[in-house]
Amino acid sequence: MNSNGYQSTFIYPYPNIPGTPNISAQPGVSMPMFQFQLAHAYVPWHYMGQVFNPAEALAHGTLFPELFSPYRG
Amino acid sequence: MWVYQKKLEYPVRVSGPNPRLAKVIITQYGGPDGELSASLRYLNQRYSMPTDKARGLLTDIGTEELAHMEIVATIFYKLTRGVSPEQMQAAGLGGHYAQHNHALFWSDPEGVPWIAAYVQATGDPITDLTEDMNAEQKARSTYEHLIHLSDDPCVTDVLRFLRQREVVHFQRFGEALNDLQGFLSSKKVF
Repeated sequence: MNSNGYQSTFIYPYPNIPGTPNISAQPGVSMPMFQFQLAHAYVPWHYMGQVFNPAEALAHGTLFPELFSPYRG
Repeated sequence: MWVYQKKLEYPVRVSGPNPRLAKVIITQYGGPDGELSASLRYLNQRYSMPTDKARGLLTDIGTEELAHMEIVATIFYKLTRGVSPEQMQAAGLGGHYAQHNHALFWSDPEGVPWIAAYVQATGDPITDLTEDMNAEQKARSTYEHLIHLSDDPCVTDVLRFLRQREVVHFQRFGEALNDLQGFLSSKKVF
């Protein structure tokens, strides 16, 4: 609560961050809590997963399939 | 210091001389949202970043943007190689030819020279990283405009690579912003 009596900070559990894996589903892994605040900017964390091989990565402009975002316009 | 590798990050091929395309692509060399602006912005801002991680990220991305400036320079050089002064003039590069012949120079397509006022360093890491994310989006948009203007598929291929790198850099700057805002290590986390 801030001095006006409103909740000034929003606490979201980790899986609520769009685009990130739900690590709480993994056994033995506790679920970290993140704090989002108004008037702040955030991006979803990127986690290492599958990667292109080097030749594919050069052709795509990124090593990471989930970051490949080609222009369709 | 830097270690120079005598190759481009991504190979540049062109279908042939194309001074009209060169004229617009020069904006990513010396325009407001071009690669010179990007590299100098990041390499300069890194000194006032509070963590080694943020400094390292700005060094890495600033270095890559220098490599992109070299790619854009190569595109311009190849598109104007062997082009006559009359052809330069007809493509709107008469002013460029008059002052620079076939040399490279940092300007936008209208000939406005690069200025340091295109970049900022406030000393506030949140402000500077937010500017950097903005810069990546502006560069992405500019590459999309250039893709629309390109009539050379070989050049378009390189532009698509460079555009994709801006997308990746935006993600990394955003993660640095997350990190510095400290919501991972906040004392309020429970």
